[in-house]
Amino acid sequence: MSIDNAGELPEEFSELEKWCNQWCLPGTAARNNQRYASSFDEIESFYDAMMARADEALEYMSALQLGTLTRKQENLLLLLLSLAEVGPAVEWYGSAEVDDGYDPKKVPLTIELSESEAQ
Amino acid sequence: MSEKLTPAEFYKRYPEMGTGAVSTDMYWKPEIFEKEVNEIFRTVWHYVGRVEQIGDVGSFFVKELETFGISVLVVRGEDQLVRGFLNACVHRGNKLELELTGRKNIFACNFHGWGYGVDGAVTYIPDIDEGFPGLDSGQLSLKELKLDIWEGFIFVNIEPEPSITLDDYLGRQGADLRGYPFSSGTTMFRLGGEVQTNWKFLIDSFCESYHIHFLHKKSIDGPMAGTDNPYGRAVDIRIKGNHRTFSTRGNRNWSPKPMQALAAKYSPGLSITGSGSTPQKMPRGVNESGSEDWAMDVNVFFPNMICTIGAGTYYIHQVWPLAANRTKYELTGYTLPAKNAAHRFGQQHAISEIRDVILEDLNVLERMQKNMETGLVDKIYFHDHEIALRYQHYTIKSKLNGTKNLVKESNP
Repeated sequence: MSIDNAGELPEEFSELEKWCNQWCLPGTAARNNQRYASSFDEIESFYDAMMARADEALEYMSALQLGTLTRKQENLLLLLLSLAEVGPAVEWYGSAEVDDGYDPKKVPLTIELSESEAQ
Repeated sequence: MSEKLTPAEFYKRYPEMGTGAVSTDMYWKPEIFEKEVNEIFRTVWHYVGRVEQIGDVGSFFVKELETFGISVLVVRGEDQLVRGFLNACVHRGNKLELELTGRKNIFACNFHGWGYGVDGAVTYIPDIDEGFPGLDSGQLSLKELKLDIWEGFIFVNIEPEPSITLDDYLGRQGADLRGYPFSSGTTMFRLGGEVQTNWKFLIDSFCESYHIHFLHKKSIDGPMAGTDNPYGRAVDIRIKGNHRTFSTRGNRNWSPKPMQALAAKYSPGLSITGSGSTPQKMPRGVNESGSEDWAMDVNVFFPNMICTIGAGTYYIHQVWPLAANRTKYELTGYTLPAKNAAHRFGQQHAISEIRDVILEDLNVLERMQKNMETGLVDKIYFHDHEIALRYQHYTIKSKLNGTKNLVKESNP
């Protein structure tokens, strides 16, 4: 998936575009790297901004079939997947990293779902 | 209202195991490790993949049985049968298929170009007429391993003549789970890596929830223990032959955090923290004691596979012993295919949470291992609700000592 058009989101979610460069990332490893490379303040700001619109964004996504998303819709989904990545950081740990956590790079994902293809 | 906690009285149901401290030799001594591999691991059936991974003729996957260094090539043939081959070219033994998965009509060795059909037979040998005088290539094929399928799970046995059939190996554990909708799942993710610990500590990690209130205080203590169940009592623990099932208790009074609530709203049943009663008609082996507070079952297939069944997902944990203090750990999550794009968020949320919980588990296991290796921790203790761990210890000790396993299967 290309991120050349990061910064583009469906019009009704354009206020979230400022997060695209940092958080529209393909692959769980890339999103996890971004989480671990960010300060907790950065993560919390992203979480708060996304959660303010997440209910609407998921309502919007629930009407879309995987495999039919436009590039803008894919970008919005990527932001939501990054939200899923940082969720435990905010809701569990209050820190980017898992408390006394094992290095996630030692147990990487070797198989994962496509972000936006039909399943 | 939640049900009363299950009392700490499993020792009464399984008195043969005893209640005292147990010795720790089997967690670190290399000579015991060698015996475990040769006398236990070599004889059992090993799960290698699901039938859905190879739906079409010529579809294949490669699975490494890392304990033995054996690479297995699993292929669907033109007759629709699934076969498992040693992934080794018969010419001079090079590893044949280097891709992990795909679809081919011919498997060609990259060393000298020998080719094999989807049924394993040799189909092409470069310069055969002059280069291999007298060789009857019609007699040559990849070495086929014993393979059998249970509920869509493909198992192989590396012994030329297995001492037990797959059905007998799975026993009541397999029979009681027959009918679970495994085939409606799709692979959600696999994660894995080498952990510096004994393989049994990895299995144990998933077979008790006494640790949840402490090690997982910030993550799954709320949904899986909480103030009603501060010491993580199980709802039930059942012995089935060498196998065992540990049923965890959920916390109905738990309130999800905002994002967890959104994940549950748009893709119900996916999260590992989405505990609840069974969503549809389930086979006898799922929530067997019928608890209203049931969260999930941890079904151990002795020795090295766990099938965790929850409300909307199932997970396969596999451990591959590499040395007394090194183990390859692999976790594969299966879930219902996403019906819409919002479900994809729910899937990712489940992946994030379970991965982070696993990351909480692993450091402890490496620290225990280091302490074992001092030789100074000569005994350890099991809580009554850690009896599934005691049973692993008991079963292995019986097998290695050649003594009879006296524990009677539970029959609730």
